[in-house]
Amino acid sequence: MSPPAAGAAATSGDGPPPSPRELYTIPASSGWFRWDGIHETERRALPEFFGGAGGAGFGTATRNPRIYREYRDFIIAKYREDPARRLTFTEVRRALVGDVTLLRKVFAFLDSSGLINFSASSSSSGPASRKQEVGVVVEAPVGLQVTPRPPASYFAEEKRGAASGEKENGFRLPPLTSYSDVFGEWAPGKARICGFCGEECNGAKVETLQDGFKVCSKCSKSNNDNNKEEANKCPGDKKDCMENHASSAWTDAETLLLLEGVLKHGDDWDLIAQHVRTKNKSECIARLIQLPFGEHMLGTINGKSVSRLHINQATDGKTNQHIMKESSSHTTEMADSMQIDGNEDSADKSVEEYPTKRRRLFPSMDATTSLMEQLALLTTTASPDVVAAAADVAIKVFSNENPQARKAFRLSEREYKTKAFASNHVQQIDRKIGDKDVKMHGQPGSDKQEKKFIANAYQLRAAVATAVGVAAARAKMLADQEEREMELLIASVIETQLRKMQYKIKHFEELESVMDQEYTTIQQMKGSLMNEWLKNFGTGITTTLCNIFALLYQLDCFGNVVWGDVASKIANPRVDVTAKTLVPKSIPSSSSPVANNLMAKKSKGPVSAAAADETGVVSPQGSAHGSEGGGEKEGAFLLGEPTWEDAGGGRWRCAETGHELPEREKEAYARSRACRLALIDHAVARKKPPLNAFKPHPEHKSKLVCKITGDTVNKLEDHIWKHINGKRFLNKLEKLEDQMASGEMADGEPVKSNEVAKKSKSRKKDKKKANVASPLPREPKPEMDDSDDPDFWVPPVGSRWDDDDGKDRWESSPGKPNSAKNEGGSDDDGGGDNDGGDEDATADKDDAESRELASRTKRVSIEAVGPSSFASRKKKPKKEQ
Amino acid sequence: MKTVSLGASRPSTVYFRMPTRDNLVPIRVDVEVDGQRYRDAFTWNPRDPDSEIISFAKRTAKDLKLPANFVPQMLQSIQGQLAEFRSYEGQEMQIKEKIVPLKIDLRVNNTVIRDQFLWDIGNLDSDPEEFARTLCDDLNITDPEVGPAIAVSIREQLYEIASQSVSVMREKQMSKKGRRAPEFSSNSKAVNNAVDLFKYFGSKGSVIRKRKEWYLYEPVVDVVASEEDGKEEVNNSSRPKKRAEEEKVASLQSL
Repeated sequence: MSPPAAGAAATSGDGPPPSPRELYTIPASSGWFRWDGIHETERRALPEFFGGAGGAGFGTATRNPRIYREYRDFIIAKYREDPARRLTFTEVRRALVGDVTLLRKVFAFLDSSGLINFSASSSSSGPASRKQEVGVVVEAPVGLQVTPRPPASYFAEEKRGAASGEKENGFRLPPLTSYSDVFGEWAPGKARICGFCGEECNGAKVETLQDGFKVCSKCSKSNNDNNKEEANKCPGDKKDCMENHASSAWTDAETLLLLEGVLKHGDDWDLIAQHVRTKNKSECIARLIQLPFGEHMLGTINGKSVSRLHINQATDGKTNQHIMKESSSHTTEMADSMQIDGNEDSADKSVEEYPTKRRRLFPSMDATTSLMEQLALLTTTASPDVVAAAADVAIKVFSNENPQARKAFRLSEREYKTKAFASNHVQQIDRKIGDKDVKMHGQPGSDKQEKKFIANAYQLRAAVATAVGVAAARAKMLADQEEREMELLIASVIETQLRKMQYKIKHFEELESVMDQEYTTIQQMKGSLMNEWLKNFGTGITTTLCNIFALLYQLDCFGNVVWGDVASKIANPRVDVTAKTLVPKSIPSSSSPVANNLMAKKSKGPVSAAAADETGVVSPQGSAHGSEGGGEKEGAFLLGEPTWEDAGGGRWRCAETGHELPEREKEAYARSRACRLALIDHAVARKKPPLNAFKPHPEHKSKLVCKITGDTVNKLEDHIWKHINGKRFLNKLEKLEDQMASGEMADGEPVKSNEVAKKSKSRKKDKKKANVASPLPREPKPEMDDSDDPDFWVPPVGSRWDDDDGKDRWESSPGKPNSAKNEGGSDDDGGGDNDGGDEDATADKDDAESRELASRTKRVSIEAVGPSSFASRKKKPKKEQ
Repeated sequence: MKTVSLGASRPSTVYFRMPTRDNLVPIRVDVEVDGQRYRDAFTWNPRDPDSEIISFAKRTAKDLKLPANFVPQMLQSIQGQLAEFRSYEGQEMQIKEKIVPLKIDLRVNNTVIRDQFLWDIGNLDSDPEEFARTLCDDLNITDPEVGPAIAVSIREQLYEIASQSVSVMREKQMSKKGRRAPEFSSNSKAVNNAVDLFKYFGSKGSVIRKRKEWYLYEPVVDVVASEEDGKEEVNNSSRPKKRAEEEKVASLQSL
């Protein structure tokens, strides 16, 4: 006898879809199912669609998750059009395009997972009459699951509508039983309702009992059918129970899920509620709170629905069974949440059916004990006083509501007069139960006992009510206690959390202070570093600036500079400095011997010698000046110090300018422009080497004209120096020398002598001595005109230089180079020779000697290190031309 | 048509075999000797030794109480068909996802069944026997011969398609430029009208058939009154069927 309720219990939305929320029953094992997703289970079961190993293709046209979902959804939807009917594969495949093999797999999977044909399999109705093997699918309320999960509110509402609004959701103890609850539609006076089956009896067959109860003929027939009929004919009652179940009552599965959830998630009630799924959070909490009380009751939790569904086949004690049934059904209705269960035989059954489950349950409760015993046990858990009070209340209520009941109670009281009713209530109840059991067992036989049975029924109910009341009270107490405990725990948890937070804050503060300290130290370090760096940078700047200035000066001196040199100098300023210091030093030192030499030839006398000595002495100073000034131009002190004459009285007179000045001003004056100019003039006028190659410019007072090259040169020592170190000058000089060396003495003599004479004469007089100067001016003049730049010496263009190199040059200035070239190394030779005592001899006389010397010294000078070589090196390319 | 996950079908070449899970060859025997006709259809595992054939023929003849001169003819028929099958073996065939409609129009004993469904010849995991069994279960066909007959019919069609696939492959190898020669069209209707995969399985298609087309793919079963002139499969006894099943089991074991 498979009751239709099996499917209907959870599928409240059976039949044509009335609302978007339909409820279908699927096994709990298929709880993964979601319309909007594909679960791992599906992927595993049907790898073909998901590129798994079993499939021949990965994501092929006909096999991909999308197709699978279409298949699945269609099949399930198709089944749900009529859940009671068994869906066959052949039906499905006609509507689906695709490989039937694959389709069959999908179908088989859905079928086996219970997503389709689950309810249908157990339903005896429907067109599937040909399915004899339907029973294969065991009706398993254990796994019953409602899908999709409805919100609790929706559920509650629906139920309330259905079940006369007595049921409440959430943690709320059901009220104590009352007559109206228990005997809702069992009002004795109220026409023809069977007192047993609650069914409206049809006319003739009614038997009215002594107590005013009507019992339908079927019920009065005490046979096995009774039960079945009852089962079949009290659908309303039953349904009620079912629906109550569905709403607030807990099924075994739910309770198990709850316990699992508690084990798994601890006290995270949201998660637990999710785990249970069919109940909300508060329900879960309430349930769990109830559980400890029912620890030993847990054993009886197993499905009331089962007990409901399994109509016992017990052969004896049918009436007993009947009453038990009824009472238990009411009991569960009111004391649902306490899970007092009246399962006797059904408990046995459940044991058989769900052994695994049974094993988990608390063993203290023997499933075979009767409801009454269980009730008795229940009551023992509470204090006697409470039980007494509860019993009193229960009896009173009963009595008030039903005179029959009062009568019955009076009867029973009389019966148990000797016993103290209130003092030992438990015992009394126990005995009562025992009595009843006995009586019930004996009942079916005689009609006379019927009356007694009714009375006993009252008593029984009272007892049940008492027990339930007691249990409720206790449960309430426990609940309160639990609540308090929970509050306490929560408070402690919060406290610890707060403490933790405080610790953390403190820690953070410490960290912050440490950070601050570090920050300040870092700032300090940064400052000091900055200072240091600035210091270094400043010094670096000054040195680089110095170097740059020096370089600029050098640029000035040489006019054009090979930039690579400059670059190297910049790159290596140290070297540069030394080079720079070296240059001015070498110049005077080299020039002074020349001066000596030439002056000696010119027989300048002791004065000039003294001057030479002085210059020799002073030149280092000059060089020192040069290096110190950093900007002193090369050759600036070409002529050295002026010749000082002691004017007496601590004063000195400049021999060249006739200037008189105190000793301390000597130096400053020596460097003054006036002095220098005077010196140059003096030297030119006296043809003092090296200025004997120059003559005053005819037009500009501040310029000189080189007699060898014909260039116009500024009347500045450094310019002159540059000029005589210039490539052009040196070239001409060389040629002149060569010519002189190869040329006849006779020819050379006059030229030389002329030249020397010219040198010895003043420049201003040169003009007058046209005969001597004739070869010279001829050449220089056009040159002079050509050189447009009056201020700076510009190296002439090579090609023109070649053109101009005429024969005139040969005659023009052969001797001049001697003097000009006699720098640097000429010291030794010149010194040695000249010291030989030709001081007084004139240049004319020592012609040959001087020539020889010149050539020699020149050779030396070219090879030797010195400004000349330095300069010549610079002009190398032009020299080659 | 644009498709998201349509990796098209991934063609792969395998050596010739039945495009089903069990490599069982459908054998149809139609032997007439001395006015007696024996018609039967069953599957045979080509890996079984040929010595089995003779014993099978002998046993069949004995069971059906056929004259002994049936045996050599049966033997010849079976061997011929197996030889044909083996001639294909060793050749390459292209296994490609291709869904073809298969049609069933059978009369077995008193049952006439017509059906049409789609079959993926690229699915080497298919099982015609299982399909036939399901079909019979669903349609509540109690005649035990119907299922095997359906399975054999399916296999025959698959066999035809597979053998054509082999020849196509050969063709391809012969002529390098051989695209998809129209010579592919053969006497088999099933091959021709392969389902347009994109139409149904593309992103815009739906695998759910239009309701008005359902009847096309619905099996129709008629139980005709036992007219004795029903020729088809008349001589089919349940014995050969069982044999076929045995073969299947054997093949499973051998596999």
